[in-house]
Amino acid sequence: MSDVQTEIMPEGAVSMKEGKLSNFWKDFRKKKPALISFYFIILLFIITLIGPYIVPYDPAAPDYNKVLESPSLQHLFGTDSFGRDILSRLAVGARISLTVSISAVLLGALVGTFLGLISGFFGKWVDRAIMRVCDVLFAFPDLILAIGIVAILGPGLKNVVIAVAFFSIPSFARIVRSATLETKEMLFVEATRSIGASNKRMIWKHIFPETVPTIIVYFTMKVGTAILAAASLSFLGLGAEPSSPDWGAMLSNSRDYIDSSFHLVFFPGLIIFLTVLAFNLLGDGLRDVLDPKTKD
Amino acid sequence: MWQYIVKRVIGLIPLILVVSFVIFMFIHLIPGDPARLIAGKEATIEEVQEIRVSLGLDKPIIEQYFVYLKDLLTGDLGYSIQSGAPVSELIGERIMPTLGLTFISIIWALVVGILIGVVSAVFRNKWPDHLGMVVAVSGISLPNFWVGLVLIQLFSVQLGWLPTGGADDWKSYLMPSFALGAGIMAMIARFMRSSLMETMKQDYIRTGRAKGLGGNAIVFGHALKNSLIPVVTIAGLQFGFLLGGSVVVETVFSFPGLGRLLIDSIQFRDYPVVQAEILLFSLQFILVNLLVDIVYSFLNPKIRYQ
Amino acid sequence: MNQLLQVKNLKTGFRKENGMQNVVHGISFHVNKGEIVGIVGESGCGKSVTSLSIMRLLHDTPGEIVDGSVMFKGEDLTALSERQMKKYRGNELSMIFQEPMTSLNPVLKIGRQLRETIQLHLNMSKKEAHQHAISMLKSVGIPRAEDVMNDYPHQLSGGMRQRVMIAIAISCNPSLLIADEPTTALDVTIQAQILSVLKDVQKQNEMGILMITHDLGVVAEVCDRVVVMYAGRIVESATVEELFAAPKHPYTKGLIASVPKIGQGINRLYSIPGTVPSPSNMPTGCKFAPRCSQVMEICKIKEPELIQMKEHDCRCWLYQEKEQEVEHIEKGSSARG
Repeated sequence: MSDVQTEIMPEGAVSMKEGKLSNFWKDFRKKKPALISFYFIILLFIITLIGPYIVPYDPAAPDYNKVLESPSLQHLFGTDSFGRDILSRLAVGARISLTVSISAVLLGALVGTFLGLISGFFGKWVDRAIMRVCDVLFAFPDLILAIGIVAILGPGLKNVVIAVAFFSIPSFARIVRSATLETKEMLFVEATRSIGASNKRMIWKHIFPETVPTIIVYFTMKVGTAILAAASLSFLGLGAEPSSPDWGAMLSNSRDYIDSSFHLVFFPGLIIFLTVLAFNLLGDGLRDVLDPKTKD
Repeated sequence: MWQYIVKRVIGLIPLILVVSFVIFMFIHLIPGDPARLIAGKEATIEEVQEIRVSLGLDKPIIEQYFVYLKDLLTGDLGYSIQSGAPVSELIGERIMPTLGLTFISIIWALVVGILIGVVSAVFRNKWPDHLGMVVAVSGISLPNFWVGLVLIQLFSVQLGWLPTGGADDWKSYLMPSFALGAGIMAMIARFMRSSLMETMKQDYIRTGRAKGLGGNAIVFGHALKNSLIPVVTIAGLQFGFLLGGSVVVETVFSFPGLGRLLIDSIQFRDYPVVQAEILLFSLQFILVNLLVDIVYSFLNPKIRYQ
Repeated sequence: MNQLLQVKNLKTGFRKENGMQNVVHGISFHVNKGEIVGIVGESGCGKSVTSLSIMRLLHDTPGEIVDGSVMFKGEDLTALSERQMKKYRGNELSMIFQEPMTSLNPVLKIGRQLRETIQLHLNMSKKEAHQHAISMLKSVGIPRAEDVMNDYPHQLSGGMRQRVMIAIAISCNPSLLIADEPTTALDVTIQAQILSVLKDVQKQNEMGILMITHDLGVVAEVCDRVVVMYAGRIVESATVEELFAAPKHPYTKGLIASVPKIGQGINRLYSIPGTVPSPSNMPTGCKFAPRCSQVMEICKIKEPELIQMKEHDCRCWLYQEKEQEVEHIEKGSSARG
């Protein structure tokens, strides 16, 4: 019995350890849509960092001689009602949209992961208490919860981050909890326990690392949702200042010009769509490679 | 069966109580004195005090909550700060258009989503599948407010076929329900596809083939009902997405529904209306998920016969 | 012609990233009219793939028939179109599976699942099909058959469900029934009942049965002839009496030795050491060599042929040795040592 197994096992085990990252990259590279999305997101991050220094026009400076111009060679995406260059504003606005959504999901993921880990690890009343709280949070539709929170805290980007983080918490808590339960069942945790590792050590050294792939996949997908939610809040006038180059706010401002200057509506929406699409496709690809068990 | 439904309804009561308590606390969570918030900035100290007493805000929180609950059960949702009208009246005027809009949206999203999902699963890895999944992943990623604006540009501004807003006749429901349902349709399509593909791996599908059944008889006679069971659950969970989306879409189309009322009330700091609206949206969500559980038990004989 | 089913040189492979990998390596056997033939082997030996190949039910697996023919009543099933093949399945040629728990559709009533086959193949009205279905349920010993027609699968026990599966399979009076581990998932007492139901319906309808099993007890109880498979090959085939009285292949001997017998001390039950090699990791010579108690040098180098000895075939160097020696002597060689 053991003959055959010992013959096969070491080979697989070694390659897993030695080249985990290169293996991952080899598999991931085959997922074309995810790969393209990955490059697109890298590009967005670069724009976030250097955007303000390379844009052709000052995104905030009005130019009343060039109000509401259609796309042209000077202004690829046209200009808005103050004569500001749309392309430049979108490039600078990338920083706002990405920072808001990623920090919101990060915050939600941190709290949710923590709750999920202790819920799954300790079980019993801790688990029941945390899961009941999640049930209550789940009883509010995501965006309604966010709108309610902003209504309490007042409009503004900081509160959008809190609101979006808030509705991400229960879903992270649930997904991490089930990953924790699964890992806990695995033999090696039992073995560690009998050696006498402390709870804290067990959670951080043994259980948390096993849940990381699930968290990465879910995180990526949630960023897409967060961008949409943040843009929706800004669109409703509950998020970014109307004058800021936030993508949602730009759309909100341009609604009045839909008859005459459709490019004002079209380009900000398109960039939101492409960014969310990229995060969703990247999430799909990562899931196929990292966490093939879970499905949609 | 009836036992199951009764059990589910009773199980919801604690959740509804907690949710209503959270929403009741809403007005106390806003920084500042609730009586001052309701009275407005220009009100004198005497006026504020009067409001405090008349609304019972001087009583202990728990007592206030029980009064709130009692009022809720009698349909008294308080009065709007902005217009002074009873909140229940304001909501009553707006509820039908919103219910209509969400209903149309979920129906078309279910029908089209299931259709795309089935076609994709049947033609897996062939072009209809690829096309279906491109539609689905796009649908999930599209901002519904942008879809709404693009539709207005196309069908109202360019073609002049449809009104840009309002809720006057069936035409004014077309674009909003499309914009609202697109995301859910996409999610249902993706889920339906993977659910049906999972069902097709089951042993009883092989039994069906061993009986000599053809592809259509297998998919529609044996696999579809089984694969719909998890899809129904997902559709219920995604209904929250629809409720949140309705706020945005109603704003885009100046649609006279609850969503618009919510945003207007937030802008006017009309807290009693905001509070009642959030309660209403949450209750709707809870009830839809109850309904989903009941449909689920109808589809699944194992639960039905318990 | 007496042969109902004749499988000739059947090769079935699984599609892998780097081409086809054979799981069934050119097997040949036959089933006569009204005969029960067993295919025995450990899991992974290719016996289930063989049965699915005969039924052409490899759709939902990565499997594919690579070569060989399956003659059924003079027709080569491998050459039929899917449309023609559908007319055989559930009709002339039917099959039951291992898992009665999952082989019936959980959301459809038993009646519907029975009627479906009957209406498909026998050109009956719904009413006639309903009556026929009830008589089928009765014939497999299901009490209160009329009520069971309105039950869902989860309301029946495992044994009852397997009876329903048999009722469905025989409802169109097939000439051949393939039973893939029909009793494995059931309790011992239920196993015996199901086997006797199978024997009864076989006698009534003069069907041939191809019984796929890992359990020699089942073979001894119901089969006329038996084919032993190992690693996708036939290693021995004989009548049941012959096989149990005088097994030839060391693998068969091991299998027989590992069956518990009444009166024998249970604490010393024999089991063959090692496991079936995986298709990607096959030994070069005899596939059983690494586990064989009588292994010789030649076994590790060259795979033996299946040699035929009076209704008793065996694939083992132990029995080919003599011929080889003769060959060597004739050639004037004295290389053996």
